[in-house]
Amino acid sequence: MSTPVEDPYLQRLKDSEERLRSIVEAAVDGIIVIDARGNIEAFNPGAERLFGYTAAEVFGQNVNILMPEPYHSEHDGYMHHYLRTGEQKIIGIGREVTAMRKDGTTFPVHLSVGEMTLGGQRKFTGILHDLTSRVAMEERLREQAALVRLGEMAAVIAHEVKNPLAAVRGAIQVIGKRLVAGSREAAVINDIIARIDTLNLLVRDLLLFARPPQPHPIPIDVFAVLAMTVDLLRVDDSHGMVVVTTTGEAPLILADAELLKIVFLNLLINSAQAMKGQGEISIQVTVDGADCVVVVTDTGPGIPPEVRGRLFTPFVTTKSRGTGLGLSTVRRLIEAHHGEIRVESPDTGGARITVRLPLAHT
Amino acid sequence: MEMSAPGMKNSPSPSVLVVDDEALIRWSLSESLSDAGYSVAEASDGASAVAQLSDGRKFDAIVLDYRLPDSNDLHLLETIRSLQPQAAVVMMTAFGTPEVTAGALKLGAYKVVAKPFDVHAMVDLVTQAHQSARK
Repeated sequence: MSTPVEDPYLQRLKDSEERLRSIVEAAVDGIIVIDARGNIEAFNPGAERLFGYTAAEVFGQNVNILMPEPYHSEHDGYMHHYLRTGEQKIIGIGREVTAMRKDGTTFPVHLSVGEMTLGGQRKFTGILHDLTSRVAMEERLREQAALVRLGEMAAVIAHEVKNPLAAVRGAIQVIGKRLVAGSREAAVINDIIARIDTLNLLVRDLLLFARPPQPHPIPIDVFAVLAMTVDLLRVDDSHGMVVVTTTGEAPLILADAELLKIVFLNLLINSAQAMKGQGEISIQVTVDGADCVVVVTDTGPGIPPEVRGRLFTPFVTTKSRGTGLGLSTVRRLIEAHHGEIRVESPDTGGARITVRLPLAHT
Repeated sequence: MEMSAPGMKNSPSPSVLVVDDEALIRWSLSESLSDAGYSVAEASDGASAVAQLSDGRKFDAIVLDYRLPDSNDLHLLETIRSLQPQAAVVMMTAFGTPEVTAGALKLGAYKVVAKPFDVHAMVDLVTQAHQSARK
């Protein structure tokens, strides 16, 4: 018996299939094939990477497991509608949608869907292109453009508000001096001046966030800056019952001492206010590689879970009074020093803020 | 009326020129400086300030706003300093950058004060400024 000779037609078919399979398997984009009931029939390695599922896990499952609500519940309806009416919402068009990984997190993708008929059965092929980095970059660019506009606005506001504030404050002071000392009217004048000063501080905070000054870095001792900041915290009597301890040591860092004081004072005031003026703040200074690390922990209630994701978003505040600019400004100032800040709320309670600042090169 | 007596007794009262386009600021500075014994003149723009400084009257001090309808840089300060170098200049600014402050001090301004300010503290500062200029 002779060995069977491979049918050349079959061989070409195998080669062709092999080639197509390689393309599908090597694709960076996710490629998913579903049947007319929405069940997954093919799931390439690109899709496995995007979604965190193995192909074996998803075969035969409804494709809606890859979608967050409301699409998850509505997808079967979309498919029925299309199969009944032929009205194309996404097939042949493609659009940006939100996909959901195995771990429940979502991410933006561009989805294009093609339709085919295999052995008399209608099938749909979805190609998914991950937009996470593009969306993040667009977000960053939008944020930067918004900051530039805000900076311009703040400069105008600063001038156009501070000038009338100066006019009103001066005039009211002169009038106040002519009233009978100790009179009700004189007390009201003092209250008016206090309100004007509060308005001025608001404008100052807005300006500091929107147009932070360029740092003028020199080698400084972070410990000395912390000591001065703790003294500044003491100026406000409402922080009288707050105990602050500072430990550790670090070599000199390259920074602008005035700006760092603003950074640390904001953090200390946040902690003191969170603790309602009573509790302990501990500041630890250590060195990690080329960074000086300052960790501020307090014995307050910690950070509510619902605000953890928005701590650095300007104008978002949990305080009954406040601009919501404190932490956003702190982060801008730290980033201007090529440092970084992390805020955590450990299970053990309180808040823990970690600031990393580059050490001065010796 | 209380006097912080910026000048010596029996000597003519010291003179100050207040330059600001905001009438309320001119009024409050003028009232407080007069109360403190100064003879006060006012100007609401750079041109009027330069005119008053050029007609022969010597001033002991000048309180000058950085931004005026006809001035938004340090040239006016430079002109004022050359017209009356004996006059101590206190500058006011609603939105001063560190560069503006440094530039003003370099041109001989005694101090740059951020708006809004305490009127009484400003009177004390003007007194300090012209007394230190006399030494």
